[in-house]
Amino acid sequence: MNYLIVFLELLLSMALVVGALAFSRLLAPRPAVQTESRPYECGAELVGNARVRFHAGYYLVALLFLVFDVEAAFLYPWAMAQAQVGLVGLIEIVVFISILLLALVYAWKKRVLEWL
Amino acid sequence: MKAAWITTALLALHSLSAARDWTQPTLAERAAEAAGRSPWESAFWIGLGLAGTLAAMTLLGLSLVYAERKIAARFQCRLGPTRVGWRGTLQTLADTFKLISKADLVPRDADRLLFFTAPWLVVSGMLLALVNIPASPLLFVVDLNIGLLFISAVGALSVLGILLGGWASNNKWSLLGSMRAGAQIISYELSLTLSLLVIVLFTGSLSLGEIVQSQQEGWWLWRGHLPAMVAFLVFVIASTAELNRTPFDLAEGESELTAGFHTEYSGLRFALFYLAEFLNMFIAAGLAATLFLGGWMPLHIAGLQTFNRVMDFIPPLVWFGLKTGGLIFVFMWLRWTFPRLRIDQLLKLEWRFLLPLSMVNLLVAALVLLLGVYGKGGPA
Amino acid sequence: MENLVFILLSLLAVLGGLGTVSMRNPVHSVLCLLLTMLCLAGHYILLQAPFMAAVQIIVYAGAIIILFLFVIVLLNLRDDVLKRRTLPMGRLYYIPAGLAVMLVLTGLFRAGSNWISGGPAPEGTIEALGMELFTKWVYPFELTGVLLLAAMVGAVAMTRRDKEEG
Repeated sequence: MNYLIVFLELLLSMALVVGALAFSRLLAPRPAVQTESRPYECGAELVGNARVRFHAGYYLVALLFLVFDVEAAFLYPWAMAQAQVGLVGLIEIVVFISILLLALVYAWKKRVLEWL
Repeated sequence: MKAAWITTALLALHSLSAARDWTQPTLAERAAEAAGRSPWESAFWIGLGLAGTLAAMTLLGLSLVYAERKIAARFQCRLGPTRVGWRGTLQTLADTFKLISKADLVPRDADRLLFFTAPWLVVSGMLLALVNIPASPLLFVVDLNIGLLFISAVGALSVLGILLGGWASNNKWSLLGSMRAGAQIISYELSLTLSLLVIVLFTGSLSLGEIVQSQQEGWWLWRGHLPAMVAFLVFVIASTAELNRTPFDLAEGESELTAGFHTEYSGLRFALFYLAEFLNMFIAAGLAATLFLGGWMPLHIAGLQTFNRVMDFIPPLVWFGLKTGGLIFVFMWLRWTFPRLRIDQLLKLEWRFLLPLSMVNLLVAALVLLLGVYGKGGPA
Repeated sequence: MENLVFILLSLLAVLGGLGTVSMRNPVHSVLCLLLTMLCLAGHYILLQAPFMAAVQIIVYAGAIIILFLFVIVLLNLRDDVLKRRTLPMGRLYYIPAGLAVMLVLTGLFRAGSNWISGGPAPEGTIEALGMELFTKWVYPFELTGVLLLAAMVGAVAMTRRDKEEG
């Protein structure tokens, strides 16, 4: 039942966006001049394609995030079971987190965190 | 079926009164319970849940935008909206109609499919998180047993929406803004998660209903000692960054990127992004209130019987509203006080300071749990 | 009812998978991948494993797909590059792909009539998962940490090679 409602909310958000756009189409004027549909860049003539290449730093941030996100996924079951596992669990998680802190220190030393 | 109508009528009254019984079924549980008896009643509860979410979304959206404008004005010694309605209260409604009646522009080079999908992803991420927020024992639609995890999962949809929206627009500002937003949101997501985990650690539960119940004895902010306080601060900072609000608003940075990822969005499509942004602020504040400030639980101070009795008379919905409203005010306060950071400063703050801090903080919390020193004393 | 949902989700997931490999625009491929991931999360919910569903979304939709998007923007292939879609010796890849499909089909036939439900799902809570993880599977768990560390070191070493001197 819970997930049924969640799924219905998903449909509802779809309906909301589609409905709102349809409603606005009824009320809103159509743009007569096509220049309005050009990308907005300070009003000057466009220079080149918008899809420029990006700095590799963004990629590294995403990669670091991936590593720590997987870590967080492991931490959820730990946090829920910690009260029962006790000291052993704490020691295990200290080892786990320090391995990952090592990863962070490595990235730090390699000056990944100093980009741009 | 008749029972359902009567309960609804009571629901409105009850949520305003001081509910002594704090274990009420959520709307989803009512629906599940009624499913065997009468499918119509079950459908009624589901419909109520959906309609309620929509109504809450609309109301909150309108009032939060108004509040932001008024508060911003006061911070800058202005008056803010005053003309439309009593003290300008209808200003946002008027603005909404204005946005609806704007031409629906899709830029020439935009990717039409993605240009439509992006606002939908952002709105659905917001709406799915909103159903999970317990506003009072009765105004609580769904209590998932993985509630907190679910909220951070649907947060991923919003990030994707922002990234795809920026890419689809085919505009340099948009792409730059959305890439910045993406890097920023995913970075701060980490310390946000780690600070949530402190509370998960103490309660042993991911269900928001259970987390609120666990605070009958006292709010986690006090009972969790230092780790909970640090986690609360980290949570507030990280969610300000997640929300792309100043001082972390480089994704939009109107003085450099026009409007960031939604530069090309106008009219109603823009309104949807805007709505999601404000509602996400409510969700973040509501979540912080639920996790750290006891949700809809009243403030109790151990030993002061009369004081506690009086506090009990304030309805849970009002408690939740006060705590959430206070936090929303803090978000707005931050926004109109601090200047914007640079992207490298922003990422340094997260990766070099907040992330190691919240990791260590989580371990300290585990130590506190292990020693069993929480739960006694302090304002309870 | 459950079977119907299962079949619908599976169809959508397969559709998303096909879209991922056949779309010309890489960002559209990513969108199709997102569809597949969401459907897989739906499958986990059907299997009464909501934790897995949420982790699926957090890790795949939240991290991996964003990583893909960043890589796409990083490389930013122009349209003319995208039109040359053939890989070197592209046809050769059909052989392992075909073998994999055959393997899956054999598995399906061997499972027989039980192929949809696959038996009752084991009752499991997140807490139980945590207990298992921290009592029985400690070494694999810690090794995962080392694996994550290795993955990160590799990635940093590959992208940051030139910055060493400068």
